[in-house]
Amino acid sequence: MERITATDYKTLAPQELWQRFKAGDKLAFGALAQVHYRSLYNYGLRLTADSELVWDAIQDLLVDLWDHHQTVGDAVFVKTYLLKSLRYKLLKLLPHHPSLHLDEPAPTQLPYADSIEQQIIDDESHTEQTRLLHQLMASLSKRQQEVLYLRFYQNLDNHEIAQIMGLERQSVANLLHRTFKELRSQWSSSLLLALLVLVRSV
Amino acid sequence: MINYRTYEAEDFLFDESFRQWTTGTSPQAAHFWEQWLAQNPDRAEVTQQAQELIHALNDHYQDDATDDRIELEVKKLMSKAAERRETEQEEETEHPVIPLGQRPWWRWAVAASIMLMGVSTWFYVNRLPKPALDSYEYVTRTVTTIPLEEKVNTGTKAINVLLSDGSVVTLNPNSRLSYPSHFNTSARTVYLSGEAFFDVVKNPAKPFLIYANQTVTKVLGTSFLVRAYYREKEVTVMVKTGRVSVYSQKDYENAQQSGVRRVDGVVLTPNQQMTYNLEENRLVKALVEEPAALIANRPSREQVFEDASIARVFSSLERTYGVKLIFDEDALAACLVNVTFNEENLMERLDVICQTIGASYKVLDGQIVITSKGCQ
Repeated sequence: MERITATDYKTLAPQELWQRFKAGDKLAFGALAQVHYRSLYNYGLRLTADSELVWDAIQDLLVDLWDHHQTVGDAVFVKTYLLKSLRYKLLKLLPHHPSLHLDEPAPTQLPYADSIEQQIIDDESHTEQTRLLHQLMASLSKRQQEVLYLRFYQNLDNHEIAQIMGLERQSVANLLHRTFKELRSQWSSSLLLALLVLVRSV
Repeated sequence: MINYRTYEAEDFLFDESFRQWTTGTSPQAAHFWEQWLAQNPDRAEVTQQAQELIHALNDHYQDDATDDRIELEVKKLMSKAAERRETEQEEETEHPVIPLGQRPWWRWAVAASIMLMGVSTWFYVNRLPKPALDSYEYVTRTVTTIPLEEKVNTGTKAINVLLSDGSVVTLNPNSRLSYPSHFNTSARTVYLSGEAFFDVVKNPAKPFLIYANQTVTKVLGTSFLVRAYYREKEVTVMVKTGRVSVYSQKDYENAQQSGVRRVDGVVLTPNQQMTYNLEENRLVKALVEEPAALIANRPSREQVFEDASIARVFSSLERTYGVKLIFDEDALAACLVNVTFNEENLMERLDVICQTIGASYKVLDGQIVITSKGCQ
């Protein structure tokens, strides 16, 4: 295999990175992990509020992957494959774990400090909208929340979402359609309401 | 061409270009969508709804993973992978299994040295781009690919440097500033060694970045002082107007490389000051002790013109900002101006004057060229 420098790994196409990893290239494996770490962690947080459990699960998952690098398939969708594996791993861990189960209400959002960028760009109404969205999200079912998340944050298509969640593609489409309809109608009316409250409080 | 007119709010949510516009990551996308909205004003409500949703969803899905934490996890993973690799190789080569005590000593020696090599190569490769990443010489000569111009102030008085976007930098003695003759499309990046007062033209789409001694100061449009002399152990940023954010260069670049929006830094508002301690890598925020001292650092730029000829106005601007204005004196002889300036920056002043006399201007090679048909 052609030798490349550490910085070159950042520019490799996902497919080539995967091929190099399969051939036992440890740096390619590191680069692969680096690329997917944040989306894996972020997805894990949708499944459980226990962040340390998520970090551990990702380590386990990736060590497993390394152990089987010679036998893993030609994953066409590396990201889908990793997200699906993490989901499987967490769901296996969760029934024994007191903090959460998938059928239970969603974990409450942690109060993250706003980024500096946001502080500068945000205005009052923006924060109000974010608060509103938290409420709307809480009114969706776990499944709805998950499809919306995979579609929006992970930017996956219906087929990939179906693979990860073990659903039919058509069910994903229906679920998404319903979610948007609810979100859209409630979004407008809630915002209007919020506006009225603001006007009255001035 | 996609027919965006048929799009509902949720369709916009997943349109790459629309998302780029909403999150302010692509000027091209911004250009396209602003034009599109101007042509399709009836879709304004739907697009606004989509933008609100995108902002809210992005906020909602934020996580608390810092880049340092991810880096740590990857390192942990790599050392685990290295261990696995060793055991795997041993298993392959060591048939039959010999009880521990009877294993020849050299096998252990070989195994141990392979492991050491693996670990040291990993660290070596990771360390490669690190040396003196933050020195003025290093960043200006190697990091940027755009050719830079450099102004060095070896005199005893401050000098003014006009940048291509119209921002003015007052460079104090013993200081150096490097900047591109034209800023690229995504950001306005300059490099400072020493002390300078910045009067930055507002442009939220194109943040202004100052690299100075291990720090990055990010501005959307404001005026402030940066003190970052090479030999000093501290970098100081004082804010006169507007808001600026200051990051350590390491944090800022890590975030840039991994494409993360969240960077740990300090936000400064007027009359606040930030000190970055280079030895402790620490950002400390404080109120400016003596706001008057800061104001003294800022050249006074009050200008009052009553029925003034344009030639007088322009030569006054030239003196105040130390820039060269090129204009047709005869064509503008009949133009008179009544105006008072206080806090306005150079570009704002030019905007007002040019609007009054129906002229336009552009910045060319550090000079300002005025075009006008003249006044009746």
